[in-house]
Amino acid sequence: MRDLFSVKDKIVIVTGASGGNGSVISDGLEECGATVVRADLPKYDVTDINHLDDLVDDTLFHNGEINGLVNCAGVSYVNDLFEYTDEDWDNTYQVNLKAPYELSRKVAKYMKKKGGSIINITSLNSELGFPNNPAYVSTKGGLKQLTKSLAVDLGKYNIRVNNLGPGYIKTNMTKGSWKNRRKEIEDRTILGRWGEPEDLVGTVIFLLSSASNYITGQDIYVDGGYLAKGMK
Amino acid sequence: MRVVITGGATGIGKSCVESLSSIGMNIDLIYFSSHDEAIKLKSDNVNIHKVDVTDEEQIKYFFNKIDSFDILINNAGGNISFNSTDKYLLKDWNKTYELNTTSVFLMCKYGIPVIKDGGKVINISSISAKSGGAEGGMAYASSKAAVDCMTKSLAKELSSRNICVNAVSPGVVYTKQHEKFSSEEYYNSLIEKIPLGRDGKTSDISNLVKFLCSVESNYITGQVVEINGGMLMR
Repeated sequence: MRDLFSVKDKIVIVTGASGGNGSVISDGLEECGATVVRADLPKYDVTDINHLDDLVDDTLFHNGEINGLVNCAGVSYVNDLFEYTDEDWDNTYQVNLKAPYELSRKVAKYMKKKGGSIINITSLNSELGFPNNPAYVSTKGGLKQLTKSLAVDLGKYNIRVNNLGPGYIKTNMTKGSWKNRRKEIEDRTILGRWGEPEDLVGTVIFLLSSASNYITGQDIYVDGGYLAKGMK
Repeated sequence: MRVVITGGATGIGKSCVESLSSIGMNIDLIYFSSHDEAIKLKSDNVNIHKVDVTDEEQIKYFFNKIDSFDILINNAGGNISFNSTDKYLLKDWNKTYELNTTSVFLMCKYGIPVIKDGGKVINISSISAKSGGAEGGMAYASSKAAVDCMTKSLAKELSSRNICVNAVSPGVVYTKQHEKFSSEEYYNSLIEKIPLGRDGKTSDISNLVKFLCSVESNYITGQVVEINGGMLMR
């Protein structure tokens, strides 16, 4: 029964592995016996298609196969709508949406034989609108739908694709909100607290393990009830 | 850990009982019509109780005997009949709601005062809550949609006690319901719509329930987690 929730000996690529969530997710997976390929800058720039090829090649060269992929790399640039730069828009799109698309396709080719699990880290922004961040809101909305498209196309290979949507998690990316809106967000969250990156680890393990073998194309929000709460 | 589960003798409930008791949890298994099946599950850490979950007095009596417990799994439910709306009997409509919706309310009404702070409530819903259900199944589908909503309301209400409330929403799983209502042809046509190409096993569902019982899901509340092989994604 314990094997059911196990990621032991699974080969898992985590992008954005140096970030607040990515690093803790990677640590957690390793603690549970997975082999984690930590993909992050400068060695692996997910916006560079050649780097993605290298990432897959390196992973296969060292480990023989790929069982899991966690698309965790993400960027967010806050700016007034009328000041929003093309550069920020393009970069957000490249990292948050194009990279998961490209990397998932590449990795899925090698998962076809034995099946696998892909997790896209979405966001509250996949469901709700937030101010001054058109690129982030729309790419996270797009990522949510990309997951469904991949789930449909890859289901026949027993490759499952799901979204994990974190709520307000205390990381570098949310430090602005932590500073300016900490209390407001606490009050808006059913469980009355911000999340820690550790809160995400269990769901990642669950979605990578055979305990979730019949779950695909779904959204699991680990948000302390932020979305469920609706009005204040 | 002590778990109270309704509809625990067969199908998804049975799988939950087997899975949770195997890791040492103490189970109070509530059943109503499936006596023979319930007896078979009885063990050192599985107690069985015959309770009609649509009967307020019986539920009150049951919880009077329980000092405290950790996890409530509202699994009992079912479809009473299929029919077009103009032919659907009000009696069947009411019975469907009593079985699927009012039962959850009553189990919470009397269970919540004795559940421990930091505990968990897990409601078993259905894909039909979002899809509208099979033709002629409006009563069932809408009674489960109410359960999805109750899950969110309860999550808010119980947050101050750090009790997480979530729903598990299975797709096609071959249980007594399908045995009773679905022809082989219809059942196979359902499976053709599933990206993973198979129906769900009861163990698929109990694995998710087990995760939601664990501390690893402590920041998940007010969610309806769909488990349907990709049959419905939204």
